[in-house]
Amino acid sequence: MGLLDGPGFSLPIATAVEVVDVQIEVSDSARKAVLAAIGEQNDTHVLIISAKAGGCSGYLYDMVVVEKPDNDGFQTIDIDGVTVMIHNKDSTLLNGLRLDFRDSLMGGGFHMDNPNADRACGCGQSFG
Amino acid sequence: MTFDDNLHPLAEYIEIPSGVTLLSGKNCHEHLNRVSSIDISSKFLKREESILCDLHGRIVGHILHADLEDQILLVHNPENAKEIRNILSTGVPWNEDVKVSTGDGAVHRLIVVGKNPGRVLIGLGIVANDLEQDSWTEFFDSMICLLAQTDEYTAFEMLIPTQLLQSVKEGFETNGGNQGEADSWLALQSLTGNIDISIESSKHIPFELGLANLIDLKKGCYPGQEIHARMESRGIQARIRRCLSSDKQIPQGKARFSEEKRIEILCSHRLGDIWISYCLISTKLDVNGEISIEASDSTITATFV
Repeated sequence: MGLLDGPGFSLPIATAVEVVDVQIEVSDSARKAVLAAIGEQNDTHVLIISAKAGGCSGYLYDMVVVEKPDNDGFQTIDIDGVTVMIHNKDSTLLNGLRLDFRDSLMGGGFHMDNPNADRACGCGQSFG
Repeated sequence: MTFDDNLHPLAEYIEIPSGVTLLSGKNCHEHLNRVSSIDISSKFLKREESILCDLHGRIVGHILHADLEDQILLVHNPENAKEIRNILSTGVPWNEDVKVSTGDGAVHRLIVVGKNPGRVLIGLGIVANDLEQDSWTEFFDSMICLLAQTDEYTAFEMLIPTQLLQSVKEGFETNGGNQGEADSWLALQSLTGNIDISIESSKHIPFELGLANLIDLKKGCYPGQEIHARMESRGIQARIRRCLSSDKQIPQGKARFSEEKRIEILCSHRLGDIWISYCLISTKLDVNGEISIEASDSTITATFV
């Protein structure tokens, strides 16, 4: 597109991020739920917890089970046989996170308690 | 009120000072959608406007989008470009490809407005009747769309790269167009109830500026959404935007009028011999007609339009 081909556009903006050594707590119920989600792929797959822009409070939690990424930007935390990975750029936002799992038909599922959050959305998926 | 005396018989081209930001990468739409007040459509060449807000529901930036498939060109007020780019470059997840670049001065926003701008555009090889509202049409390395069409005037909006700007301007001059002033266009926008993206709107609640059309409460969460939803459901709005006409420019900012009533002037733009201003006043005040605004060093008489 010619409109963007001319001079004047900068290189992508690089955002400086502070990196801290992440420590998280995972309750026994959450550990079992993650193990159940990973299933027989526990040797190859990991749980990645991350934060992305959005939600009512500025950031959204995201949790995915994926094949262990070949990326040295992650910190790896072993929780009794479950491998949890957190990217360095999310380290200050997620350090001290407590992950719980509530087995309930109403409001059940994973719950995050984040000491870095000044505010949280009513649904619990967003923090800031 | 008629604009007739202030409208060019053919067209004026008006350059609006703008901040330009380029969002690129295969996940740029998803990323923008998570922080934007509207559901981003991801339709190639779509023209949209949206708002980025802080957690308190106050505006950080009022943005014009040009969707270029795997890139979105964002045009906004240059004054709050830093804050807009800060929102866009923060919180990009590890598994998404999103890049934010600045393009101030690389692309220029031109408004072409008058009683018959089609006559000028045809000289440049642009058929005005083919242009659509809410959708950009590519014209060489530029883009153009229909912005407004009324009985009195027609306006087109162009995004032009720096290297073409001078030749496009010369093309307008050769075909009967003149260079106009941004003030006239912004005053015209105020009179017709629109808020141009170049108006400084940061720190205001979208509803008080009349920008409720840029809030989509059905799209789900975005920063500020909880506040907006609560305001909408309770029907609470402390202030409302009104338009004033005066013989003098009214200084921007907070002031008082008749018997200590409060008013905030958002902007004041010249249209011929008069000044057209947007102000915010309490929804509890039922005022019309003429008021006297106590500006810093004088009293200015203004009339609600």
